[in-house]
Amino acid sequence: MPVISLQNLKKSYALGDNTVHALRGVSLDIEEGEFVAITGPSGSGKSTMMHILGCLDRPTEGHYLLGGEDVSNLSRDALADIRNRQIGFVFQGFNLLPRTTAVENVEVPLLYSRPLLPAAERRQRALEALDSLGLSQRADHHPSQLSGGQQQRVAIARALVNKPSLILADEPTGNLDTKTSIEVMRLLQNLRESLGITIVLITHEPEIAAYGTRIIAVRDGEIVSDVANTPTPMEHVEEDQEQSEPALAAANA
Amino acid sequence: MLINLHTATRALRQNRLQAALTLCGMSIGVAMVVIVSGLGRGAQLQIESQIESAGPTLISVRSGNFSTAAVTGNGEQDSSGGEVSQGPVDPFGLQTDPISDAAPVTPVTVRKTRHRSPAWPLTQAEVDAIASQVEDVRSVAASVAGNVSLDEQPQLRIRVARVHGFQTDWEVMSGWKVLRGRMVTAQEHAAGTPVMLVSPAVAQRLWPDQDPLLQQLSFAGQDVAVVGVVDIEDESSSIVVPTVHVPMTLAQQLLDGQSFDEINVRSRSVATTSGVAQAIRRVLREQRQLADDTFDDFRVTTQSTSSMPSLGTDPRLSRAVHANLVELEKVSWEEMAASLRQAGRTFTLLLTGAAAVSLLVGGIGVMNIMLVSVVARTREIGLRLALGARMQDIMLQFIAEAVTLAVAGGCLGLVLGYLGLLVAQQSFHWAAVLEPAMVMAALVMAMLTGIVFGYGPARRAARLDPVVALKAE
Ligand SMILES: Nc1ncnc2c1ncn2[C@@H]1O[C@H](COP(=O)(O)OP(=O)(O)OP(=O)(O)O)[C@@H](O)[C@H]1O
Ligand SMILES: [Mg+2]
Repeated sequence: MPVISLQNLKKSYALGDNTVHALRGVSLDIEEGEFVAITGPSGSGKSTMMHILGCLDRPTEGHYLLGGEDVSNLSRDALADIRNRQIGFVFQGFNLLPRTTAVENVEVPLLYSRPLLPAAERRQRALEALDSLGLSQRADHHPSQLSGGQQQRVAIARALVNKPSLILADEPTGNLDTKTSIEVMRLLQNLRESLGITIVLITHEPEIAAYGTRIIAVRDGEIVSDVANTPTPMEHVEEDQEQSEPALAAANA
Repeated sequence: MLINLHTATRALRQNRLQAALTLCGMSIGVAMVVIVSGLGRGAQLQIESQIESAGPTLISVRSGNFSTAAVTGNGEQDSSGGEVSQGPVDPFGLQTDPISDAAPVTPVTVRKTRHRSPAWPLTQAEVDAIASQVEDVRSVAASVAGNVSLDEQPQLRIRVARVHGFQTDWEVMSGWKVLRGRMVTAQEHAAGTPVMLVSPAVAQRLWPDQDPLLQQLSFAGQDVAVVGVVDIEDESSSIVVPTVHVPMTLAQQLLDGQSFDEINVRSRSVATTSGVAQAIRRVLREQRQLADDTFDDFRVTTQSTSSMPSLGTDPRLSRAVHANLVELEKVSWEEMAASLRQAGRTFTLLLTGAAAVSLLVGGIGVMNIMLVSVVARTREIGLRLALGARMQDIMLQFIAEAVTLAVAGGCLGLVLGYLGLLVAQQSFHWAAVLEPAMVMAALVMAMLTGIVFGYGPARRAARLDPVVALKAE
């Protein structure tokens, strides 16, 4: 059974007299553990699709089955619970809370989990998530004290802290330089391979899309191509990470 | 909830200037409430105390019954007085009006004995009986006085002093105020410590131009030291034979006796005075085992009856007035008290209205900063929604923020209000009272203001569309 199943999904916005059709009937199945890269020109409906996949928005027409459950018509609070438990978001702009330490940022999803974990356990899990991304040294730093790559890793830790089955990333490398982008992509690749998490990623750049196991191209609210891909190999990952740490620290200083 | 508080304080710290301004607005509102209710309450208490101090709540019990008009303190005739021997006397003083009633009533002969009922001294047993058996009694205290010869002292020309012994509370009932030194303490009352109080006039007469607090008098070898100069209205005779006021136990020892001259009773309120006077009379009659057909051998007088001139007036008029005095004083006092209280309440209500308006202004300030905050933090709200916050989570977060702000302003306002009351008291001599309940009420009001004015912005935040909020700048 696919993790994600979109059935003739449509989304349109009424703008005054005319209607904008952001999605014009998208059908798509994504299996567990896939790393799907979605590409397409600006305004093609990628983000709109991502919002629906992330239960942030509801389709105008069609059905969205997440883990076999139809979530197209759930209430706001029910969708909030699904986002909290099953989905981790990574944004282009990192979206960390300012003047809030890294570990507190990572804890935020846990504040909205039901039942609420005790404070000590929340802290523990946030620290573990940071640790798994090599950020344990930065737990008490504010976002302004972190480099872009580090901020995005904090955001990934936040997406992982509630152990979701799906990670949605809308242009996660959009604000990063090439080197840091590669680092983040390898991180995501690593997550998929070690934890078996399904990842859906939006990007403009073909080199970034090349990390996916499947590449989908969207144009004018429709899927125009859907091909399997052999992901860019993960060579020298360990080496690179070791190198990048001091480099980032230097950039920070 | 704690998490929300934490988030709230952080959010407010990030927005310092605005938060500080809102805090000011809020604190002024709460300060107004505190000042107004403090002044209102002060005025009310002052009115109460004026009613109390002016109103007849003091009842005096003396032994013996020498009153001219043979009426008891509550207007009942007991015909034990001895001046009237002729003329029509209404034996049922309560039932008929002796003045307007034209029909002459049967003349009765009243014996001329002034000491119809001989003085039977008052004792501690009676004080205890009044304290324990009569309801609505606030305090009871006895006093005794007598002349005691002084041991020879070099500078003193006086050979004898009037020693006035009093029990605890007597000074309160008599309204004594310490001018210098201190009152006699409860321990000194209990132990009969040789200490005394004097009036300024007596001090001046005994020790002209000297510090009275350093002086003492010696009675039968016992030195009694002055501990306080108290503004007591001594009778004029006390200048000739100077009166000193000492603990009861000491006075009894010096006077070599156990009895009292007078017992003073303070009733709980003006309205209960006449009832208490009646009850005292009943209790004392029981205590003294007086048969129904005998007269009181004591007098129970209230302030109003004692202020009525009885000597030199027509006894019939006197009796008529006395007979109606109880009801008269009750009605007029109660009415006056009621109208004064009403005035006090109206005053408080008006001021409270003004305070409520300023609290409203403070609340609008809170609402304003919260609306600004919601707009400024739309992206954060979007993020929180994306991470799984339900509507109520966002609501709570913003209400907690508003309440934190309002209560912090409230605390500041309490301090400001307290200072305001101090100023009012010190500089303008206005009566101001700050009670714990008022502090609580002000804080609760601040909290409610936070909730009421935070609700709208919080609701607006919670209802944001996550997608739109995430895209916000
Ligand atoms: N709230 C909205 N109201 C009206 N039209 C909208 C709204 N949101 C998106 N659209 C329209 O839907 C279409 C798809 O937008 P979407 O954001 O999904 O594009 P995108 O593929 O993510 O573009 P980009 O690569 O620039 O991020 C666009 O034409 C956009 O103008
Ligand atoms: Mg987009």
